[in-house]
Amino acid sequence: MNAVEKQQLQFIITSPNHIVNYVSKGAKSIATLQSAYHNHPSQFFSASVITKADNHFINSLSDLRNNSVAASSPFEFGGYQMMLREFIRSGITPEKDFFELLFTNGSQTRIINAVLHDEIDAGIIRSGLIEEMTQSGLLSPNTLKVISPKSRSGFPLKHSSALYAQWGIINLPYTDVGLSREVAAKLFTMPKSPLELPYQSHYGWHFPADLDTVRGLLRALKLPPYTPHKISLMALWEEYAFEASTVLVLILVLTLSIAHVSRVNRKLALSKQELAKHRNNLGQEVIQQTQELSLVNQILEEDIRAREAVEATLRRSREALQGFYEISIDYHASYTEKVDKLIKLACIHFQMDATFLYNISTAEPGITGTEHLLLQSFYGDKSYENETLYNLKLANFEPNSTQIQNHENIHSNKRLQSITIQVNEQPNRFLIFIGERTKHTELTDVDQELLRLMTQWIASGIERQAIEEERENYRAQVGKITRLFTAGELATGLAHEINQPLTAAANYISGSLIRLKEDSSANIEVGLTRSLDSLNLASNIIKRLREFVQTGIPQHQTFDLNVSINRVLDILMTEAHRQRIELKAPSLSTEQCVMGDKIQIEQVILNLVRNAIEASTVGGIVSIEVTHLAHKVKVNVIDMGTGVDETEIQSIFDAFHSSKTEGMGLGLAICRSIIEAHHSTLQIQNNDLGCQFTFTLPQAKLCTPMTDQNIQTSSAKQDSLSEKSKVN
Amino acid sequence: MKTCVYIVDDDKQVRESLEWLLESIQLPTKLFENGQDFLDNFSAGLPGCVILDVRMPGMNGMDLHKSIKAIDEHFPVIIVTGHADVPMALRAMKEGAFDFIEKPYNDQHLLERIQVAIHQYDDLQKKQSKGQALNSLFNQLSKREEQVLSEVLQGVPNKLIAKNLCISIKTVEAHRSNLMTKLEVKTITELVRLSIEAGRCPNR
Repeated sequence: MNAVEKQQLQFIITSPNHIVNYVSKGAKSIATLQSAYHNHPSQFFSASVITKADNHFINSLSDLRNNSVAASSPFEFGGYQMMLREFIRSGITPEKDFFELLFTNGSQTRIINAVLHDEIDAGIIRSGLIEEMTQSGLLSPNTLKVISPKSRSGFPLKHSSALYAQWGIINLPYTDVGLSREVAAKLFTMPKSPLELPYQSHYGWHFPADLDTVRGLLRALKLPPYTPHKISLMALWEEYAFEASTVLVLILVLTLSIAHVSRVNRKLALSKQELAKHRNNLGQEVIQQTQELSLVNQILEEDIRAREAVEATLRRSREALQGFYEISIDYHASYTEKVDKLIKLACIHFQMDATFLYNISTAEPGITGTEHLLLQSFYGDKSYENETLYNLKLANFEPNSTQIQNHENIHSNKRLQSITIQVNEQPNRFLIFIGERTKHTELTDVDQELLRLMTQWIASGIERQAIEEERENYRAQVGKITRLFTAGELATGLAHEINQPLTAAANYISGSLIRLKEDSSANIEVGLTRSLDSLNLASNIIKRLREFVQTGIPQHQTFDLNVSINRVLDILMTEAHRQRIELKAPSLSTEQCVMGDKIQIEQVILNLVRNAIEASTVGGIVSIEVTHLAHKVKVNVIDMGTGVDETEIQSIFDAFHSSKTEGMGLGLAICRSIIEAHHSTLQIQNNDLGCQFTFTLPQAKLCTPMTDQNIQTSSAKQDSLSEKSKVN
Repeated sequence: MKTCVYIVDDDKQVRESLEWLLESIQLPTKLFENGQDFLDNFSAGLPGCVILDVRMPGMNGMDLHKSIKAIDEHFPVIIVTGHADVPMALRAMKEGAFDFIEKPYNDQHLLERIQVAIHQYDDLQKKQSKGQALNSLFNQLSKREEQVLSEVLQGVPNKLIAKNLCISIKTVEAHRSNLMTKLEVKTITELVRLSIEAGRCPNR
């Protein structure tokens, strides 16, 4: 075995039990020995139990009980081991059932001799030994017999056990395969012994024999490689480590659980005692708790009531604010109306009896005697007026204070509350509330804020009014100046227009005079008629200019926009004609009544159309479109000119901004100012062809009835139109 | 070609009233609505004058004036305007306008100026045509005849002329006779006057 372990051997010739053992470790059987018995080559051999032929007591294996039996060695395969299997099969346990079991540890011939000499009753030998000894003359024939012989075809030797494969040759796991093949080939082709001999234990080599019977024997006898493992604690542990540890853990857990349960049990018993004790106390505690809870409940209810009160206040404030908001966005009401409404709202909201709004005399600020206060607005019972004035004198409120000032009159049971309205950081008005002293409490923070908000609104209104007035004055002044200025500009332009007909008239008259001098009967009617036409034309032009220059105080009146537009276009007709620009105006046949300052609106249209003409190129069209909107009339002045640079759109309405070399650049600024005074905006927009200016005017139901002057103007206009068409 | 007053004005009234006025003094007129129409019908040397308005659509009076001067620098142009200013008037006169009249004008004054313009232009044209005739007379002279004429006009006697020109007295006399025939003069006084008119007289 050492040699194998050291890999010194390549091949081993050994007994079949060892072959099986090696094969189980990876070796391979490459050939099995063949024996020949009377011309029968066989790869098998067997064992026999012999006794003397004349022993009549032993005929079967079971007859061996209580007899002495000998074998060569317990490890001998072709002998004891083969027979042991047969004994086991027959229910015999040799160590127990035999009288004596001897191992000679020597050759089997000694066993034969011992049987012959009655030293033992039976012996175990390999098959063929008797025949060999008989053949070689060492044994007389028929002196020995084989017990329970078996017969098998092709195996002529006497035997008692099953047949097992002969010895063989094996290679080892590390042996080179090529070498193995070479060796096997050599073995198989080795010259065989001649078959004439009746018996020969070695005949030659053949293919490996089936080893299953050998394995069966080894397994049955528990011999290597089927030796059962030794049962040791370590081996057990190795085999069943997991199961064992699981069991151990379970046991541990169980033990612990039991311990725990018992402890809990003890505790439970204790708790039970405690519980009983507590049960007694509980009643008292419940009573106490209930008392506390009811106290908390009371507090909560109070809290809720307070919260509801706050909510109510807030709701009221919200309503007041809502009312305030609605008043402030009411576009139809004037500022004074709004203030009246606001004061009423405040009076109701603050639950006062009356409200008064007083001017603070700016002549002597700080002194608030009645003579310096002027009633301006009030709400509520007017009978409070004297009372308020009386109390005001007593209260002597500080006008410069921004706080809400309070005054109580215990005798009359009245309360006065005052807040100063500051305009431009100067005290301007007192807002005074008067009410029952006992009925009314101090104002809440929210109400105070609300009141402040109201006073600020009133103040901003006053400021705005002042600004508005200033702006109105300014606009009127600027309007007047620019009207004159525009008239001047126009006059320059119109000089040419007036000169033309005057020149023509003079020419006709001179021509006629010369003709008369030459011949007193000359026909000069044509010349004189034409000169008259020309003079009429000139006078119309002057009339139109005068109409325009006549400045009126800005006033809101209703007038027919279409008439105004046509009047303006009349003035500009010649200018447009000279530039070969067509003017398109809405028809005069329909009335378009609007509200506004007629003169100012005409001026705007004039300016816009003049601009449009200047922006237009020869052959262009300038049209004025009038469209109806709800309660409004929209006016569009559209040209086909160069349009306005996007970057200039923002600044085009600015004063002194001009793209022209002439003029002051005031035109559009004034137009915008006028249109804004009419609560509209002047918008400019580039369109596909050029640009358009748009504004709206409030619509009026009826135009003012035509006055004499109006009729005159319009007929003159008609004249001038017909004149124009004739001349053109 | 008959003398004619051309009127260019975009205003029909003005055009026709001028026509009425000029017809009263038997001056024929031609009316044009704009400058281009006039230019299409205008050529150098037409007798008459033109009255323009400055302010006209398309080509204005000042531009039209320039165009006319480019064709005939002597043709009289009277510019009338309703809104004259000094720089415009100065420009017009510098560019050779005959007159610059502001509307409304005195008809009599306008008629006078028109007549003066027509006559001056007529005289100029006549003078120019006379000068041309003289030139053609003098151009007939041969080189030798010119040399002899030059000596004669300087009062050099025939003898000295012959010596100066290295020719015989007889030849000088023949040249004198020939040039006087060519210039259609009979006396030496006539010859001198004609030469002065033609600008041939040498400066002393």
